[in-house]
Amino acid sequence: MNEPAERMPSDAELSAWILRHPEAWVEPTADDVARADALLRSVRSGERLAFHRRELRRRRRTLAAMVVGAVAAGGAVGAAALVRSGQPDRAEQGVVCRAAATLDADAMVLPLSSDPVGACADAWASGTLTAGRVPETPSQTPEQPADLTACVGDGRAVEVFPDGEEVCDRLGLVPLDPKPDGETLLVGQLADRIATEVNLADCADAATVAGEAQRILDEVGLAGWTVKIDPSADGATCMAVAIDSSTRTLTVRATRPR
Amino acid sequence: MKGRRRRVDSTPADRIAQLLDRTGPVLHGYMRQLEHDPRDVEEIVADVFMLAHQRSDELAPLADGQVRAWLFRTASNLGKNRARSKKRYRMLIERIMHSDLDLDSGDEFLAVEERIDGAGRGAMTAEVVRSISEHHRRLLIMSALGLTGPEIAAELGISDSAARKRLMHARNEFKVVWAELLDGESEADPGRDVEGSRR
Repeated sequence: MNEPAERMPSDAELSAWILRHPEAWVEPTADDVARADALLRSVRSGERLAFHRRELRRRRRTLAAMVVGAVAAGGAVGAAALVRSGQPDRAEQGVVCRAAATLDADAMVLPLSSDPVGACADAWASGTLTAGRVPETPSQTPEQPADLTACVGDGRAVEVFPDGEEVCDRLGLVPLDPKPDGETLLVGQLADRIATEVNLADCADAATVAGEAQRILDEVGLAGWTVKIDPSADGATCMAVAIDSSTRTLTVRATRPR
Repeated sequence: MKGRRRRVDSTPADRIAQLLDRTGPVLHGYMRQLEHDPRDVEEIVADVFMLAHQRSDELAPLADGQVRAWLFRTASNLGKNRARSKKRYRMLIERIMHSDLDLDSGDEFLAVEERIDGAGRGAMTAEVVRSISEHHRRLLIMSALGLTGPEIAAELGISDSAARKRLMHARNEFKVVWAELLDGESEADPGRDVEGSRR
């Protein structure tokens, strides 16, 4: 259905054509060519994705600290419940692979998985976790730990240490349930989505935030959970949602404006 | 439609890599015009490349024009969101990486191809777009990217009505330049078709 060349494109056709032909928008300079080339190299080497993951983890760690802090600061009842239940075997954040059997050792954070010990073993095997350590002799390879043990940390992340099973007790942590159930993984998804879609979103009132939290709960498919609005939310303009898996509750609380 | 579909002998990653090689400098140049801070340009362009690279399997079967439209619209959206909140920027990228691709329909693309490029009006349209003033070209691009009148107004720091008026002037300039070029072509060689005369 060819048309005469004289017919001018309609406004809609012109918009559609422009969108598909950005080469007509701008004449790139030599600097544009060089910069684009450098950026493409960083993408193809995997460097850009690694940067993105690091930044994302940094944001989520900040947020996890904020959420746990909000629960702990929620009053004596909330804090006591948290201590009594001890969050013994349920993880709500990612997997933290520690390079040594101490709580302040260097670490890398991986997404929550059904096999955290396996995920960390892969990180050790690939040398990722020991990157930057120089072997003393050229023939020496980075030492692989004989044992890896997963515990649940204070921040409700799974912490995996290069040590035997006594390490959790020694560090004051609780051993991870070796067979995390489906709900544990769903709670991880819930935490991830609450962090991304609610706690980092623009400020909103308590009813709106509670509605968002309920929507995410429904979509994740966790049964038996409830959404509560804390009295601190009265009259406040900015909210965050705290997760407590021991009581299966999402609590909407006032927070500082973002 | 020749040459616009995926070549069977290249992998999806190869095809998108080639398209990024060709389109990357234009994307960088365009974002440089939109963003005030060169660091934002670098961040946004690198992230759009990364998203395309990550999703090359899904982008590769599409026509070049559809992929280019996705690249520029994604860059434009990232730019808008980065201006609103740098805190949420990484989260947005993560969402784009894992959610459905926001694509134009293939049917719509084919219709434009047929009506403009297929009808021998592609080169003429390109020449007119390049010939109009930079300010008007930018308005037409913003409109093509789906920015509403108020969004264009906010971007340019003018009122809604002024934005609408300027967009109308931009479309008028396009029409005037189109007519001028067409007149020039007819006078130069009345027997030749428009696209052929400009190659």
